[in-house]
Amino acid sequence: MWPLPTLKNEYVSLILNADTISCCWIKKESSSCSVLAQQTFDADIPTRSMINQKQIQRHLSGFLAHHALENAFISLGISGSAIVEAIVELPTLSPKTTDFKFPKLKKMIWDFRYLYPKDNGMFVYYICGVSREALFQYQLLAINLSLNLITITTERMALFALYHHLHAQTFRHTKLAQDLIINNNELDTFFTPETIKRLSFIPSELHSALKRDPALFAKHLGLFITGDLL
Amino acid sequence: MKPVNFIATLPAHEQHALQRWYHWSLCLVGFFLLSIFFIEWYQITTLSTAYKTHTNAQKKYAHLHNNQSYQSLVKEHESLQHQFDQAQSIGAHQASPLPYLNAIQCNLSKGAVLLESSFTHSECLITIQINVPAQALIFIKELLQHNLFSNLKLVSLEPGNSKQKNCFIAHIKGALKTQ
Repeated sequence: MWPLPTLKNEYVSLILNADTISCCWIKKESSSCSVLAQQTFDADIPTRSMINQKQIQRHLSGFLAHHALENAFISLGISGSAIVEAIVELPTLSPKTTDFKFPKLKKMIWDFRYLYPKDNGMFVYYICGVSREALFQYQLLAINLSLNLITITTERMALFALYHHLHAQTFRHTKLAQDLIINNNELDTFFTPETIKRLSFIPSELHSALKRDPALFAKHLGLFITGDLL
Repeated sequence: MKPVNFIATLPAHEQHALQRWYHWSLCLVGFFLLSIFFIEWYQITTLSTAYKTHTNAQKKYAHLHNNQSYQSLVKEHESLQHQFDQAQSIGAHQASPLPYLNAIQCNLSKGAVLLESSFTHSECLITIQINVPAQALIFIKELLQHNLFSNLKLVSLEPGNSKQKNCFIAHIKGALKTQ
């Protein structure tokens, strides 16, 4: 209704890699969510600082127009050279930003999250940052396409959010530590197609894509949860 | 674990809350306006009727206000009214000469003609044409009987000019009695 656009419980998660652009339409139900459409396009992101705006615009606007999702909430997950992310150990449980000795982060928008404690008294943190120019380009992209962009985060943060959502009340940092150590600090391989199906309804036409790349669906679901939780 | 977000935006649930607030506000404002409208319906209809009457009257009498003849008529009316007032005020203070003239006219004997009569506030001068001089004396006597004149005197008696042969011109002067 004028002047506010009509809002629906529909989310579009967008994952931008160095070589792919993946869009996913997720609808929020009363107690769960449904993946209604997912599409992956080949991307060509040539340099570290510049994104191929026209290509992303073409694919994204085509996806949104095809599914009539002009007013959907958009969550953006980024990875690759535009961001800096690392898992670091610190001897304190309540660190300050100055405790992270990363010269690269000084010129970036960045944040950190506590992951788990270690046996040797150290605490493991996940830090991630994005360059200001890359962030500006993503925001410019959202303005150009009139997107209701609510989240820009990293793919790994989306997986952490999904992991947290999966365990909900039973989430423990020690369990996260075990799972991360088993998976070499990567959650890509943690989520199986069955786990994804348990978290959301996946239509039969997307089952083959889910089996082929469950991590992609996990990232989309993670982005949806990130956007819905914030 | 709160997810990292690189941008500060309005979250989805806050956007929904904002929209709910907007819709409810719109509904409440609409309801409030409708309530006021129904409560004030009588006043509104009265105002509407008065406005329509006023508009119609304005349209009907617009030519009066716009036409210059209206202004000139008003000015003429005012000047006539002023003259009428002046005449009324003068008439109230002055006696009418009509009864004097009637008396003069009635008492003129046969062959006598009133040539001129002039009246001032208290005097009169009458000029008559007569056939014989005795007619002038009879005329004066008869006028004195009317109780409108006093001290009437024959001032002069002249023979008529070349056009008025065999007649005389008599000038009679006297005082007027107030009515």
